[in-house]
Amino acid sequence: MSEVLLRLTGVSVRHEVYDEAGAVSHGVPRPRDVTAEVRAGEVVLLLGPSGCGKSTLTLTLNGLIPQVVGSRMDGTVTVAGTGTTATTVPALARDVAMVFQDPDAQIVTATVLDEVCFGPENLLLPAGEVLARAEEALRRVGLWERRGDDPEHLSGGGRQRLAIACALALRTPVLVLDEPTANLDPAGVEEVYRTLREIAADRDRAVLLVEHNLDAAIGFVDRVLVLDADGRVAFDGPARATLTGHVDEMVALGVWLPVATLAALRLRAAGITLEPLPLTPGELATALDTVPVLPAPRDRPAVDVAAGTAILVRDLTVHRGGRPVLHSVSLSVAAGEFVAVAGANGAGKTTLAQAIAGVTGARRGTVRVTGQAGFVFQNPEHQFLTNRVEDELAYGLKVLRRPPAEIDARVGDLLDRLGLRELREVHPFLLSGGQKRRLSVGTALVTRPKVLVLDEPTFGQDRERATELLDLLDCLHSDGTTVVVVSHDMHLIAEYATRLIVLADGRVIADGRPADVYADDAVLAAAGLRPPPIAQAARALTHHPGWHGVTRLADLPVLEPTR
Amino acid sequence: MSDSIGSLRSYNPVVKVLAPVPAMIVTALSRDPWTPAVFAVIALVMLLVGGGLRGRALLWTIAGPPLLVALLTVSFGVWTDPGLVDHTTALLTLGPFTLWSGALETGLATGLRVVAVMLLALIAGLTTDGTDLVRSMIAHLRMPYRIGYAGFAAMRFVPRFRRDLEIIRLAHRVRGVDGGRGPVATLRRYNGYAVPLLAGAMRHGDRVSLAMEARGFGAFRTRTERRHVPLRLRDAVLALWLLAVCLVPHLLSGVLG
Amino acid sequence: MKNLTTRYLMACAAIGAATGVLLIPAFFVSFAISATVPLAYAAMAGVWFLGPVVALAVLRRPGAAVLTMFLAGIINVATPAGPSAILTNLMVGAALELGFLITLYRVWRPWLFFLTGALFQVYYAISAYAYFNIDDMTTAAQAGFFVLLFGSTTVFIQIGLVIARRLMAAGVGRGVAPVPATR
Repeated sequence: MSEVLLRLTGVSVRHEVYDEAGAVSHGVPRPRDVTAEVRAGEVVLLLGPSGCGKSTLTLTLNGLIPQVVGSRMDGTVTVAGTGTTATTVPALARDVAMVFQDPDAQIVTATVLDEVCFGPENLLLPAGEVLARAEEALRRVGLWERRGDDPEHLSGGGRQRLAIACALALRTPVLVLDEPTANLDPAGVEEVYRTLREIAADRDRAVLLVEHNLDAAIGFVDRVLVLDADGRVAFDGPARATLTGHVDEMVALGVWLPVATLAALRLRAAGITLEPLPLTPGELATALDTVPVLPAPRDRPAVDVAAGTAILVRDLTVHRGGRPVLHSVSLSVAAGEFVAVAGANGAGKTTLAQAIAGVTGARRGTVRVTGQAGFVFQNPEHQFLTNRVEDELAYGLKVLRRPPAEIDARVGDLLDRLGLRELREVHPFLLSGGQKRRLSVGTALVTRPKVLVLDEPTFGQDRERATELLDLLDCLHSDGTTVVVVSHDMHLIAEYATRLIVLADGRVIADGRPADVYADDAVLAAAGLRPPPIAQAARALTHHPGWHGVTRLADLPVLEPTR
Repeated sequence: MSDSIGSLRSYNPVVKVLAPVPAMIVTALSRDPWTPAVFAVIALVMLLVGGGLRGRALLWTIAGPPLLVALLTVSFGVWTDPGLVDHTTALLTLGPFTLWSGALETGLATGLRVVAVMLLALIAGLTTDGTDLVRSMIAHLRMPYRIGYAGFAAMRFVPRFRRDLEIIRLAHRVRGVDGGRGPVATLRRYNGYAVPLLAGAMRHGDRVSLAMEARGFGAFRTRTERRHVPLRLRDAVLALWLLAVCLVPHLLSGVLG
Repeated sequence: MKNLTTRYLMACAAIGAATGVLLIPAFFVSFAISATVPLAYAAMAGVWFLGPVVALAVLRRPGAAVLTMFLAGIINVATPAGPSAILTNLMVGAALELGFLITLYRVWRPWLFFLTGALFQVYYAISAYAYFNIDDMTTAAQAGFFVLLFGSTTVFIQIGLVIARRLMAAGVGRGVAPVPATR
């Protein structure tokens, strides 16, 4: 057995909680009483439902908790034999390297090379050694040629690879990654995972990974450590055996499983049992092909599109800083559609959405929308204006000078609908990420717009929060609201949208049902999109051509009509 | 970047910032028009010869000071107490207002002072890169590198905050925040932007600080620096020259009696 | 040095960067104004207090004002003031810090902000007297200069305190500012 590099013994963390007077107490422990170890050469995936303390646990591994982040930790963490409370956080950088979720929040210097050198310089290594390490790390992640660039000019995936290079340059025995792809577009996710797969293949260090995108990660992890909602260790064992052997417990815990596995569970409920339980799209395809006869996929209910046009865009051209962002875009959206707008970064998605909602002026062409469209920005905090949740909801109506009775009724209704009633007097900034997102949607809904436009509403959120929000949007959509969502979240688009518009370089390059767009490889490549896992599996089927158009879980046959 | 001895860019940033300070003080405390005029000309010549200026910067450096002096002469002249200068020549009478030649002289002196101080500051301002200045402060003023790196971080925050501010402005407009016009309405609107901007900024700063510590920032009292800002003989010469210039008013008073 | 945690430094960098961005137009405008209507210059002198007031009121730590203004100054190097902006800003930051230093950083009441600000402006007025030749101005102009100077100081310190209060209500500064003794 190889050497134990990371050892956690009875680790519980209680975060600081502030009351209204600003006094501090400590909350419930998340994680709670975690005992685990990671050995050299292992790649361990840490799983658990939202709020179980996964990210918190990663912060204990280099002493940021309890030394820097206000919290109380019980138990001990030792890294390569050193206790994390016995030394300082910077000193532990020799033993543990970290990659965080937000690539922008990890950049300190002005060039790619300086950035990678930053860590080794802090450790007072001689300049020659610093450069040697930097070069090796940059070549490893494929950024050596761009060493002179400003990190700002890299793509999201590029910046996260840079963060990985910075971690590698420290040459630590332990590498910890906390949701490294949560803020990236599909092309970025793929880049980062290609890099991570190579690093994992070296087997020369211990890697601990937190990731909700299991589809990408499952291919190269050895072991999973699963926490339950209370933050306790629920399972700890080999990745495949643990996930497939305890799949029902995982579902009950609220752990998000690979989409291929979810598909298999859905088919199992319909009487089709796949053995072994697939974890990847490839395995799902293989398993399905061994089934002699598959029932036909479910028909999609015809979209209930009203006759009226909700949004009409004609020859819209937008320039930003002298550069054209949108070229003569024309489209019309019928009332009641759920439209997704996708495309690579800089394709003009946000600009189009803002133009539809009337957020930005100064443009050529016409945009007509039924009534005033509601708009939800990517970062909810940017939109908040007041100090209390209920004032925040009431604001839009007060601007319209509605009678107080009506304001109270509508705000009360929304508080219930968004699940924010208990929090109505809380400061919007003090809500959790998911609550903030719901509130920001609520501020747009309060005036009852016929058209709701959202910019990357699931950005940086985990699957659970994203699904919660999408169910809310789906509800609105069923009630007749026209929804336009800018997103590169393939799952969202595949499962919910009735129509997908793909932009590239300011032009519409595809516009149709998501299933049809996913079948067009040229469009996907041009827009940096990847088909969702189910579509990947369905298209790889050789024995069931009738299934090639399947793109989402809801297409799979079921016994009872549930979602 | 030029390393020639004739280029101000090749001089040490800290020296360029601090060496003109005595001259600035002498200028600021002077009352006659000659002292600031001499300093302004010296600084201007240094900038034109050694600044390596091009395009708009060059144009403004040449055209700006005379325009500014003219403007300041008139405006400060207008504000001067007529009681102090009504023994001089009346140049212009507009209703109850009279412009005295003495007032213009006072205005000229003030204008020259402001311009001279500005030009002395621009010796460093137009020829120094912010990061080099910080590096030099760490190396030559013994500023803790931790503070210097906070400076680098602050510089990197700026473009991000500008983008954030732009989005916040749009977001508030979408919410129906109606500012109206005029300075008070603008001030109130910006007040509304301050909280989301600063809250986001400080959270970002917090995340950056965790990432920095995780990469060993602060492990030792010093850190390896691969880039060095030189401090050379030429810098001492520059400092001595700018100090020697301070004697000019003394000499002038001898000459002019 | 022990108290200069990276977290605290980055909090100052964040406020400093925002302050710096705010002061860039202020340096330009003040320059244009001082060239045309020197009295109006006094009306904007208070802007310089915004950043250090927010920093001190939110972070409540020694040095917050000086650090924030120093970092803002680095950003203001790109203004007509050049690197002397660092000195200008440092002076303002240090001045505001003085009142709190004298009270050993135990008093954080608004009056101390106003008092310290006002005292600094007295000092500033004296130095500006010579620089702008104020004693040669008409009495009305001199009176106006003082009224505007102290008026703008009060207004901007008040704005700074309001912003700080709203930031604290939004939970900003937690974990960096010292925790008040259990009440």
